[in-house]
Amino acid sequence: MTPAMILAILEGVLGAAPQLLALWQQATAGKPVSAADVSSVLSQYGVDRQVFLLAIQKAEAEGTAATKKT
Amino acid sequence: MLKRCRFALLLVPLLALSACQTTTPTTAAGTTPSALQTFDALYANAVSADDLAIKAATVALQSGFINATQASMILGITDSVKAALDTANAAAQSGDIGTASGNLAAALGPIAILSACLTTKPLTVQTFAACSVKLTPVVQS
Repeated sequence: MTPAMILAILEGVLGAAPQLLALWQQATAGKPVSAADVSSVLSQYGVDRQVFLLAIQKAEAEGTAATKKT
Repeated sequence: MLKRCRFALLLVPLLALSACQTTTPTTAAGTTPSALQTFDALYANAVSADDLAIKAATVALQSGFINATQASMILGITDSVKAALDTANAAAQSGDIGTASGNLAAALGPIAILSACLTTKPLTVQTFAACSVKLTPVVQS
């Protein structure tokens, strides 16, 4: 990966989500995370993914129902 | 100037991964985390960023700003980003820093584009569709 590509990616990260800067700064500040921290992040990810999946299924069902009505 | 400084700050983790064995940041407590601990922090934060995209997409779907088809596409993207991060983490645990840093870097692009698309103003089915054509996540082996 060339420096230009890395810069392009980072520019996208900065433009998209400034809060990521804080996350990276935390990581580069040398603050290690514990196994429990990692586990907590993964657990939260699983919960949020499941909520998203259910929202998609609900939206698809409503879309199908709307289509059948017409 | 400020923008350049922010770039420099963001370059640090990637450069640290490239030379992972020599990464020696010091914590507030005065201890020095290992390269693996540093990678764990990057991994956890990257998964959190992917999680943020999922949360934003859930709200966007429930608010009617994106449709179910677009939401399914987002789920596919976030799943592949997570897969890249997991591949990177597994590689880091086994000492394969090249694969680890490659997959971590590859995961950043889709997260950035997805975040940009979800924060497009105004966010509509049409604006998201126009923005999301750039999404092409890759998992490197």
